[in-house]
Amino acid sequence: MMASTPLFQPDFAAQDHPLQILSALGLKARKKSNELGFPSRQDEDWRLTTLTPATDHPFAKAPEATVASEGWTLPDAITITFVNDRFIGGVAANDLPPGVTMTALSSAAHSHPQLIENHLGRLAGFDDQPFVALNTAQGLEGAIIHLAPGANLDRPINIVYTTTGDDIVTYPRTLIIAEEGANATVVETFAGDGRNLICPVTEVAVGPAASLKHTRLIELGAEGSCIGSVSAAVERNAAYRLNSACLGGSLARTDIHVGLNGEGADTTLDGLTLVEGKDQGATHVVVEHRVPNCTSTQRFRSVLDGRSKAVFTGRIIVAEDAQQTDARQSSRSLLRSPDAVAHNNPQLEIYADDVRCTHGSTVGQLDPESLFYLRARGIDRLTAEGLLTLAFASEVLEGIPVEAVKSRLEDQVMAQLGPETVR
Amino acid sequence: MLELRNLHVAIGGNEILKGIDLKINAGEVHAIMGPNGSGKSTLASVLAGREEYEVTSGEVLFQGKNLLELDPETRAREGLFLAFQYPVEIPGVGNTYFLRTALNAIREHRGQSPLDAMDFLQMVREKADVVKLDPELLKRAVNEGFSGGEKKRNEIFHMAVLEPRLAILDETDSGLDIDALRIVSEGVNSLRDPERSFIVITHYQRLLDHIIPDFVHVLKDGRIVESGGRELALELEARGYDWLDSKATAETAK
Repeated sequence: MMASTPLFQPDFAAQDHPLQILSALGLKARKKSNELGFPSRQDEDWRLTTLTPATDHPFAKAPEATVASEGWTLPDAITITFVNDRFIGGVAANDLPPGVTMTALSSAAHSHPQLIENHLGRLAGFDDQPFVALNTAQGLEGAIIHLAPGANLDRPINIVYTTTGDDIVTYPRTLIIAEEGANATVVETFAGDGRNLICPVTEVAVGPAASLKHTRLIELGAEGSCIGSVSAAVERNAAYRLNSACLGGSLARTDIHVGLNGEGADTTLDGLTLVEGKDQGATHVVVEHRVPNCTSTQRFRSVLDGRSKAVFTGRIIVAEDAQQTDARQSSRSLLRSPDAVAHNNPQLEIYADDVRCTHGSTVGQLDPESLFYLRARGIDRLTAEGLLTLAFASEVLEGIPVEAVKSRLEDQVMAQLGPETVR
Repeated sequence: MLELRNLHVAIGGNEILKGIDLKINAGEVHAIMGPNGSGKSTLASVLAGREEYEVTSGEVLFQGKNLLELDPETRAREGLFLAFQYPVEIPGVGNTYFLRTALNAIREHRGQSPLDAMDFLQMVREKADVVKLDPELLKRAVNEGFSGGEKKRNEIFHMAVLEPRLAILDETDSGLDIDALRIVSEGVNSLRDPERSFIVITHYQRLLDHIIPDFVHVLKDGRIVESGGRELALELEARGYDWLDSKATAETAK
């Protein structure tokens, strides 16, 4: 099924973690990773992704000493920072709000072994996920966030992963656990600068009646790539909102898996991908309704320029007894160039009979009538196109829970599109 | 202000306008009437710069400049305004934000400094009041979910804010009830000025009861077949467009 493409070999010397659990997990993943190799075009899930920007290049993990050039951080947030897979800094335990644990995985192995034992690797299975296997084998450094039952944060948490330098590969690993009734907003930012590769894995456990708002902002350099995944489990009456945005880079792929495990669970997944030149953007979503009375909403938008390609695959699985499921999905692509290609593939697997599942998918261009209307009022073509593109994207930007992230994204969208007069 | 000389326009190879001559001086209001399919909206579209229309011959001078060489945004910045027959709904673009972007583009073109948010808001409130536009509509996306009447009022509101030199109203009366027609007309009348001209395109005379034109032209099959004063509109109302046919036939027979 998978081609036996060699992986980034030099890193495969065993890197034993001080703690047994990490060591054992890493070892298992290492075996699996070697067995799986990189996916090939023959693999259905990877058929539309051209992996050459990631696989045809000798990426290596960063040498020990790294110059810490941090990326953008969210103002007024509780921040933890990593550069090239090394913990740079965070808020001291004493200064964290009550009920919050936030630490690097490497130190949590000593300070909170039970958390790791209970949760790490539980949601992001790697038996058939080559890049999750790779991350688990190579990485296991990143942020662990634990919210005690009832913990309620009035400030967002910002996890910052910076990958810097050409030919560098990083494997950020995030674990977020929101216990019963906890309520928080977490913003993960992944920034790359040169020709580097980021392979992040994020696991999210949302306990009963908890509410987690999770934003992932991926900003890559022109030649950068990111191949990552998010795996979330949402329990009874809990709410999980994911806002995902990906800008720049020659290859950006995100796989999202959300399991609705308890009655009354709700998830909203919004995503925006911007691609230009010969870039590829891909989003693969699986939402599993495992029990009755759960709701899910997916809204994914892509904006394509040049000869770029965007792929969206959204699978909704409704288990046999998951009656009263309400699942909605919409995917829309805006082609700003005749040479760009968008693939939108909704997939429904429904085994229950009393459900409501809707999906809609469109690929279109800017409306010439709207464009003329704006221009006839004195707005130049480039700005008018930018405004209409931003309007298209605003459907998914509106729901971003953190204003600073939203306005940053709006600025980035306009900047990528070129005009200077707007904003 | 505006001069059309022997203007011929085609779309998709079909000639729609077959030689229009028209001269509009500053401060004048010209009504263009005519049956459906006579080319009224084509005239509005080609003046505003819609690209699908092809000018096959003739020329248009706007304040001494060759209008046909300018792209739509430059025409707008030079002071031309088209009130659309079918204003477009643009979800995601705020009415006020859009208008400020447009106004500042026009001000920049005129060598004026951009209006700051506070001054702009103050001005917008005053202008909205002129056309009795519900201030709530200012907060919405451009025309999104507006009723037919609200869309037309929004067009006149845009006109009031952008203060054009020449405004073309393309069937602004269509779809308006009597009250809305009166409000829109009052808005237009309040903008009448010795330095501002209007082209009022309409199928019906009733709009011209409210916006009194200086000149009335009848467009038929791509040509202006009759020009006159306000009384021409009243005569058309009484006798119908077919009257012109019989009149033309009678004249040919003389």
